[in-house]
Amino acid sequence: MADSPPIACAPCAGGLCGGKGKETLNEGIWKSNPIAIQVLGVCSALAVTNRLENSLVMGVALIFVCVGTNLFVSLLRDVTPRRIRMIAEVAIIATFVIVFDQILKAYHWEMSKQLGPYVGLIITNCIVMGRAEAFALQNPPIVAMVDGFANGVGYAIVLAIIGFFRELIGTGKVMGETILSGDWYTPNQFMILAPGAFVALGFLIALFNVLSGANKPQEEDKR
Amino acid sequence: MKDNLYAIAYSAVLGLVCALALTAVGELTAERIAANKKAEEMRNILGVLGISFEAKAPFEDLEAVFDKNVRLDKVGEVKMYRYLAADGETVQATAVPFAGPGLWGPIRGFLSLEADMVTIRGVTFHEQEETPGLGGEIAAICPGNHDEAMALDCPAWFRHQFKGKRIVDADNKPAIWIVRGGASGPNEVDAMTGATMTGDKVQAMLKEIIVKIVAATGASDGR
Repeated sequence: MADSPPIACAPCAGGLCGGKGKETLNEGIWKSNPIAIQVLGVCSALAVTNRLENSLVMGVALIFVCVGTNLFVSLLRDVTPRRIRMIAEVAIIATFVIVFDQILKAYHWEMSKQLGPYVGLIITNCIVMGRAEAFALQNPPIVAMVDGFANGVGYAIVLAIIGFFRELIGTGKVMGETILSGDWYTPNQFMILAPGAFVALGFLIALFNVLSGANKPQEEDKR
Repeated sequence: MKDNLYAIAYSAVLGLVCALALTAVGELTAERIAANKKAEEMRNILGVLGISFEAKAPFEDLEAVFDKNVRLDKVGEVKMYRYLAADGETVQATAVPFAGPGLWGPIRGFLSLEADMVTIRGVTFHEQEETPGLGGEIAAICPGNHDEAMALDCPAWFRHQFKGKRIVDADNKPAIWIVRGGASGPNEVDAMTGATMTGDKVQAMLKEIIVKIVAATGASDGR
């Protein structure tokens, strides 16, 4: 996962990001993955991951919103009064979320119905606001977009993994296609319900921690 | 003072720009969203009336099937979608929309009645936010026809068991009861385990619409 897709790095190759692009990408997707390491934006990750398809669309939504928000927050970072910067951020986030929601409603009605209020709730997703506050306010537009993209992808990957296993174990299907046949496999409905999401997310965070070595107890903490 | 003015001006401009962007997107998608909503309503009405149509048909085809078979009447304060026979006059069945509060959010659906206006032809719930896997099963859909859905181990049995029941009792009083264990008689259906609250709310909203229907049509056994 560390050797991430080069799409977002394309503008960086031209030297636009001063070599910071790859590092930013790695940081968002892997090293401080918003869900698995920072455990942010968990609400939607738990709510919409009962099917892989939902998870993917939600991931795309977050990438879109994160990239857009980071770009504009970064562009406006020098003219935004500090005292009202959060209100400005929320206004920008809300605009992007509503735009995505409208497009979904117009072109993928069924999906929009399945995701219900969760697309709109991206406005309150801490990942988006967190990246705007922590990164976009201090960095130039292009690298801020890379950061938004990386965090969006980090979120999307985690959601896709959870969605894949929840759908597979809970219904025996993947993307609506039966994989585990009903003849010998009894779907474990627990995984479809909300508690199953907690279990799945818990295992995934544990796995991330083991693989990345993050959150290791410090030497002095050991006793 | 100067800072305050700047902050106010900044917010005003940002708000204006966001509002303009949203208005533009809203305008661009409004037509498609309206068509999607209309198509969904038509699919629900056709479905509950038992008119066959292609699920993935484009909007125009759907509208053609709808206009050919269905006529909207208003009897008293009740909207009634009539399924007309080939002669364009004889009413074969009638669908009536109903709505009410569910456990977590509003529930909307259609109740369709045979030509006698007392025998239930079908019930659907097209908008609900009940607990997935429990109350949410009111909206379940199973492949195959009515008998298959009742025979199979499918959660849509709840919806399907309404077929053939009557909305008035032997004394011509409006009646439909969702009962715990062992429904009997033409006015009772079985409740779902683990969905008592949803069952109560569904019963309340069905009761409400049935009273209205009976008042509007004067429907009775003798009709």
